[in-house]
Amino acid sequence: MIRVEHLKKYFPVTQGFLRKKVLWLKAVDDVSFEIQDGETFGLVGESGSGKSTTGRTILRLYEPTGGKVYFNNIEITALSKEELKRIRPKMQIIYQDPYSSLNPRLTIFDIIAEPLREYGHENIEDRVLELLEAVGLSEEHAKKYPDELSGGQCQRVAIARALALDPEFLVLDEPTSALDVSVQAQVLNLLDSLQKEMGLTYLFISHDLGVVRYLADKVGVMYLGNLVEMGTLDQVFDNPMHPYTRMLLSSIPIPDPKARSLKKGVVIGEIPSPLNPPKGCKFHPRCPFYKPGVCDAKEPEMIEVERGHLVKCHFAGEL
Amino acid sequence: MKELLQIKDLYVNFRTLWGIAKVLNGVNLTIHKGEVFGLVGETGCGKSVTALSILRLLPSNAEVSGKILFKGENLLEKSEEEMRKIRGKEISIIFQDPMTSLNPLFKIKDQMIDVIMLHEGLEKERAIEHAKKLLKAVGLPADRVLNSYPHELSGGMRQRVMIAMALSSNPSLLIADEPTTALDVTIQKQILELILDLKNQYNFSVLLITHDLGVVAEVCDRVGVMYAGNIVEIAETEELFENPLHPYTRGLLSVVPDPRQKKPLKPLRGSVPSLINPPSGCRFHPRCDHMRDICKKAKPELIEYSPGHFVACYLYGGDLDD
Repeated sequence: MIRVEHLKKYFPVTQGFLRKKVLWLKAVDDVSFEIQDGETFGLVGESGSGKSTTGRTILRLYEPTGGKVYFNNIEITALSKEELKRIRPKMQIIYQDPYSSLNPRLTIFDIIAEPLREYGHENIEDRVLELLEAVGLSEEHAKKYPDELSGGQCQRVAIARALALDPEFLVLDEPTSALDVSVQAQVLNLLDSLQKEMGLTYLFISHDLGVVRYLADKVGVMYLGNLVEMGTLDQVFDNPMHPYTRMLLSSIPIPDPKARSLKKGVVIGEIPSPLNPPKGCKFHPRCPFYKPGVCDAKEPEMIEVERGHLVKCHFAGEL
Repeated sequence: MKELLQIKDLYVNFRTLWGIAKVLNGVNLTIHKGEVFGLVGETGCGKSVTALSILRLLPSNAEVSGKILFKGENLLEKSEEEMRKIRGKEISIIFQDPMTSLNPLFKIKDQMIDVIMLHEGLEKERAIEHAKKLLKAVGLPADRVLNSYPHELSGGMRQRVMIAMALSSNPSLLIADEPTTALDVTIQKQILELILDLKNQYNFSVLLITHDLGVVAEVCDRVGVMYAGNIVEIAETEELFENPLHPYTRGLLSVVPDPRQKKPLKPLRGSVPSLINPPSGCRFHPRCDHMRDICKKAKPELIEYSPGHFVACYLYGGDLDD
C-alpha cells in the first residue's frame, strides 16, 4: 500500500535578519520502507529522531527534499496540488494532542462534518452519527465543544474526523502519548478494532515501545534521521541487532519488579544535535562496539541479516 | 525501619469558581528512612498536591487539614519562617520540567551558588567548590556547566543540575515529581539510576511521584496507589504487582502495555470523576465491577489486610453490615 524510497526532508536553518541559510537540518535522511495492506508499521525513536517528520512528509504535509512515496502504486511525490487534493481523503493523520488539533469554536458535530462538506458529501447528519458511534461516542456528544470533553473523548473525535472520508491509510502520530494509561488502553483497543473492521493500514509513530508492541506488525527504529533497524515485531523486540535498538529496549521500564534490570550503565551519552551529527555511523560516539577507523569513517549500509530483518550497522549480525 | 514522614488524614480542598474541589480526601501514608516510596496514579488523582502539601507550597485558595509529621514534628503547624528552613534544606523537590524550574536569564553558577550560600552559609569561593563537587556527583562536566545558561544544556543535563541543587544541603527527603516524564527513555534510565545511586550514597529517602507503573516497578521499594484524592492501596512493590487487591490497582495493572510481550489490554470502564462533585462513599464505585450498597454510602478505611499490605476496599473487610 505504501512504499517509501530514499525519502529525505531537510529543513534550512537560517540566521540573522536576511535569513541567510547557514546549514541544513537533515530531519529525515534517506529512509526507505514499505507498509502492506492492512498492516501496522510502528516507527519508533526518541525526540528528534525524525519519526514525525517522516510521517508528515509521506502525506506531503511537508514537501520532501528528495525520494519518492508511492500510495497504491501512485507516486504521491509527483502529484500536482489538485491531484493531491483528490487523493487526500484516502490518507489521514491523527496527532498527539487532541485539544490543539480540534477547533475549539466548532461543535463536535461540525468538526466531524467539516471534511464531509469540503468533499461534497450528502446525508452528513447520518454519517456523523454513524462515525460517533464507531468511535464509541453518542449523539449527545455531537452538540458539545471540545473543552467539554475529556482528552480520551477528544482523541475519539479526532479519529472519527479522520475516518469521515473512508480513508485507507492513517498516520497515527503519538495518538495516545497525552492520555492516561487507562484511557490510552481504550483508544488503543478502538484503533485495533477499527483497523480490523475497516481494513485500515496504519503508520504508528511512537516513542513508547510497549504501545508499539501492542499494536504494530512491523517496526522501524529511527536515530537522527536514519532508519537503523527494521523487521517484524518479534525480530526487532526479541532479537534486536543494532546496538541502538538494544540500548533503547533495555531502557524501557518493565512493569514487573521481578524483571528489574540489574544491568546499569547500558546507556552511554545523549543524542547529539541533529544539526551537527557525527560522521560515519551517527550512533558511533554512543556505541559500546565502536571500532575506530570503521564506524567513524563510513556510513553503514542497510543490510538484510535475515529475511525481512534489516540493520544499518557495519557489524550487523556479528555483535 | 524508622518513619521519616507520616501523613495522617490529610484533606485538601480548593476553592474554585465552580465550587469546592475536594482534591485530597483523607490521605494516610508513611515514608521510612532510606526508602524509595512511589506514589502512582493518573492525572488529577492528587499525587502532586500531596507533594506540594508536604512543602506547604499550595496556592492560597487551598484549605488544608490533617497532620504531616516530618521527623515527628507537624509541618502544618510550622511558621512560614520555619518552613523556609526546611524547604530545600531538609526536604527538596525536583519537578517534571527542569527548564521551567531554572531561571533562563542566569548562568547555572549564579543559580547554584545562591542556593548553597543561603542554605549552607558558605562564602562565595567555598560555594563554587561545593557546586563543582555536586555537579561531578551527578555526572556533569562541572566547569562547563557552571558557565552555561539553562538553554545551552539538554533536558537530561538540566534535570541533573536540578538534582545537584536539590542535594546541595544534604536533605533527608527528596521529592521527585514526575522527574523523567519530559525525558526520552534512554535519558530516563540514566536519571533514575542516578537518583538511586545518590540515594545509596547520601542515604536520603525519596518520594517518587509518577504515572508510570514501569518506573515504579524499576525503582520503588514501596508503592501507594492514588485514585481521586484517596490512597487506595499501599504495599511493597513486588507484593503490589504480584498480588494487587484494590479493583482500581488491578485495572491499572491490566492496561499497562508490556514491551516484552503482546498482551490484550482490558481497560477500565468510564473515566476519572470530577473532584468538585465526587462520587459518594468509595470514589471508585461507579467504575467498579464489585460495587455493593455500602460502597456508595461510606468511604472505606485503609486497613492492613496482610502484613505491610494496606487496602481501602470493602472486599477486604471494614463492612459493618456483613
